[in-house]
Amino acid sequence: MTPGRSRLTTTTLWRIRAVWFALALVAVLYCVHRFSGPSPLETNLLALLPATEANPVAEKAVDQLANALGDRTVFLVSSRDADHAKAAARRLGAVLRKSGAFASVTAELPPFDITQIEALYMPYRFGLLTRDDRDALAGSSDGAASLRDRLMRRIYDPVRGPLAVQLAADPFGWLEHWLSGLPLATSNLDVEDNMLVARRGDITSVLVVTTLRGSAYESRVQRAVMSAVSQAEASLQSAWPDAYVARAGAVFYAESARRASEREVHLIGIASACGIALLMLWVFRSPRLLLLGFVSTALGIVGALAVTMAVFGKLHLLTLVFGASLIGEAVDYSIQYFVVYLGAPRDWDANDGARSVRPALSVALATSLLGYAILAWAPFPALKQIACFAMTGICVAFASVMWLLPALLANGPKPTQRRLFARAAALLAHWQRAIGAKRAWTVSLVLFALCVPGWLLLASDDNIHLLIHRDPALVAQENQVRDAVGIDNAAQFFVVQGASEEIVLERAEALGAKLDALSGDESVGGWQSVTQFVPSARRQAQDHALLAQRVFADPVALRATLLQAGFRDEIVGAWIDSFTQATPPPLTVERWLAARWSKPFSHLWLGAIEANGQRSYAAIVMPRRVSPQNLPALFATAHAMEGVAFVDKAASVSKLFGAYRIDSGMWLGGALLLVLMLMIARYRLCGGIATTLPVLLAIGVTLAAFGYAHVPLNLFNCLALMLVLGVGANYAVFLREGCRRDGADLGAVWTGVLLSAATTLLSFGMLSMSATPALKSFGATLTLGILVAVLLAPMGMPTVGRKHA
Amino acid sequence: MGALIRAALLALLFAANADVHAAAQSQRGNDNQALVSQVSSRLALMKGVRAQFVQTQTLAAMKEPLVSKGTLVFLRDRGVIWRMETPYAATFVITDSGVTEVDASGKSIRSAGSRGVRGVAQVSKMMRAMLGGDLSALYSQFEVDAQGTASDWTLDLKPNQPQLAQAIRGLHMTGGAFVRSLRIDLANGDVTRLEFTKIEAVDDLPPAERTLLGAP
Repeated sequence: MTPGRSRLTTTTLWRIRAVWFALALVAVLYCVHRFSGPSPLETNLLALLPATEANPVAEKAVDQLANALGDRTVFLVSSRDADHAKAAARRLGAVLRKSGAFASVTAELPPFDITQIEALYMPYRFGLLTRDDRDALAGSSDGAASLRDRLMRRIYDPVRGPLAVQLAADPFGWLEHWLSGLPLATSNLDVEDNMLVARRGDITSVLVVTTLRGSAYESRVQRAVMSAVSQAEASLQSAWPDAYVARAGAVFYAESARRASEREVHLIGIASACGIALLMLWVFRSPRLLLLGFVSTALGIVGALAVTMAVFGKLHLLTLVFGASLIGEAVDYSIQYFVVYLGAPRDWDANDGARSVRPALSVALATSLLGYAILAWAPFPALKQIACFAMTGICVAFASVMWLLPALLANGPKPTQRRLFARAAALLAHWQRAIGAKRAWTVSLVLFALCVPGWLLLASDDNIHLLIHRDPALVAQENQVRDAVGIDNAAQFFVVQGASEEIVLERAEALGAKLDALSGDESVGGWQSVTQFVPSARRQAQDHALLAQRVFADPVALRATLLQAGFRDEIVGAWIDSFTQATPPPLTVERWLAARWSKPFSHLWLGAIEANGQRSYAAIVMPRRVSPQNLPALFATAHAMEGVAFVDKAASVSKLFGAYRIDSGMWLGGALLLVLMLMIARYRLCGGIATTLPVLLAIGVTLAAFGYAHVPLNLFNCLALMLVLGVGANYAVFLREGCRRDGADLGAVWTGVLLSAATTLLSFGMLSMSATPALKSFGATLTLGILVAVLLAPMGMPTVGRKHA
Repeated sequence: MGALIRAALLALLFAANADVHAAAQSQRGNDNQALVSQVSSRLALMKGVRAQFVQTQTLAAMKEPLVSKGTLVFLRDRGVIWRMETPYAATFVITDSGVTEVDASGKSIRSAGSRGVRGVAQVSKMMRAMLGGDLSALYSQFEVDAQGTASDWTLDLKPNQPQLAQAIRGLHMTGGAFVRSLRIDLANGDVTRLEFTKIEAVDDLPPAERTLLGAP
């Protein structure tokens, strides 16, 4: 190369290199900065889920509840020997506490003054009636006589609980009934030796409850928790080999997901990088080209990483795993450029090379971008990120091939793989004769006929577990804890909202009444609601009015009844006075939340929620039993009431998967049409159709294969078909563009296409080994589709072997 | 609170089992210890008990003590049937699953008493747990002082846990082969006395009572 012939002066060369270096440095520094701070990885699996609730308050409620419960971790220490279980639980508590990984560890219950509960309600007692007492008072006709009867029952009642209220303050026991109606302990747990104990069969299980020091999704918290737990478990194992620990908590799922993803990223990243390196070395026989190829790919990946983190803030684990497989696709652009480079005559001009490969790469880039853009359209946060990541990655890779590689490949090629290219050319010619040209239509018809039965066998699957893949071992442990503790699933609940606290409480009370009315299979077997602790002001006023009307209307008779029963004069006077004295303001949620003992129930009250610029209040009502039998009734109940929504996130997500799976069929059709138009615009009608045919068949064959294999089709298979379209169309384009290029070595072009396909197959093939069903589906679909697309690519070549312009 | 403690204590005392020997070992004083273990092993011999009771509650709010009378049936493995005859008739069944009031035909009454059966069941569980599902818990919660002989004894129990002391000042029991009396002094000054008469050991119960206690 002589300086005069090159259009790139040495200064320009260095300037270009410097600009790229600076850009790369910025991206790398940004990534390093992000990864060295708090981990930018989003390990919260729920964050992968789309917003499913039409109602923004309900959506927020879901988040808030998940957060409230997210920092709790529960350990269940079980053994056939009760003493061992208790001792082991004490040790577990001690070791965990000592580790400092937890904000609190409760193995033995702290002393609790149960009178605090009574103290909260005492001032409001004339507004608090249980449903039974209310009904009894409202239904009693013979005033004094029935009051006397109740009084007798109350004072001679042999069974009173720890929440018993002094007779003097509560002669009729209304407050006592109210207190014993509180849902304080609706579980299988007993207190033994100050510990929470569940017994099933001959197994004794002891509960140890902890709260985390920070978010369950911070890797710092996760690491501390995991090391503390393994230390504690080891210590238990040696002292009480018969005791075993089951654990439950968001932190374990998050940690396990992070570990699995990191493993996959490493596996996919390293395996595909090594495979690609070997392939490229074998074909190009040049470490320099290999290095340049990786520079371009690395630029793409780093750029994608930086832009995605800058745009989204956090990086989903799915994005990271998918990103590792993008290597195979990003390297395609440089491979095409190297093919031109190696096929070039001795007087190589780097910029001419770039110019001659630009049309092919532009079309390829356009189709790939189209595929990913459709991915971004779906309302799934993870897919949007993956699309952003991929689009940035391939754009940067494309740009680096167009502008950076020419600046790095100023010198002409050495004599290369002429023999390999010649063999490839011969292979291509044979293969094209077999499937291309006039046979193309026959081959298409045969393939079509073969596919039809497969299509008819297609089934579908829209389960939420496609996206949320939980470690089965952890799920088993969680179920163990659930069974022992007797807490049902908290994934389905009602969100009650309103413009004021009072409206929310009134609506929750109305909802409770409707739930109580459900019977038989539809029954929910009770529910938890904030109204069990704090009735609405209206309800309190009604109860107060009921007492005024039925009990205190005739103070003289009331006094006589109490005196006759044996109460002291002054006690009777004080009690009646306490009612007639100024009515206190009603008990409020705020007042209840201020009491320390309300903590375990505070998640029932969501409080003020800002949504769409409007402030509203919300509470949660949790039905105890949700089953397929009563689900329709629960939805219907919510539907019939204003401000009430039934949230079943898993069902909503599955429904969304299904809807988008069907929609994605339409998008695929539209995208195919777009690609066809793009091809026709460039290659005229016949050429356009011929160039689109391979990828169309690839999609058809892939679908049929799923049918024959009885693998149900899910949304992610369908979305991957978009990428099959976007990526698979490239091969026919590369071949066709190769034929159009002046003096291009078709053998070299075919080699390049096969190499591109091999690298892509390698990395997407690795993706199909992911543990996440969504990524697995992606990988399997892409591998199959791309394989077919590249094999059929010669169909798209012009009929006459080599066409000169 | 007193009433339920009473029920739980009765169950505990009548149901004394071998655990007490181990637990009693930790008590100070050999005489004390020996007597307690003798008392509990004698009580443990009984499979069941039938007795008449007189309950006297001296409550601060009332002018006169409240007196009620009735019969009591206890079956070690199952629980207690508490039949009050005066001042009005009512039957309560106290088992592991909680406390229920039943009518003459043995059906449980839910609404009439409006006592929130579910709540009481929990309360009963909590109480049993607090005082101990087994006798050893009793000894970990109280200082036990025993006097007399195995055929005529007195037990004084003082809570040694501050939480329990908030509610109970102390328990006082007398008996021989059976418990004869029980006095509960609550922290608020209320006192409940129970006297048992016509005590007889029973090996088996009539079917109606077995059904009430949920026995096969």
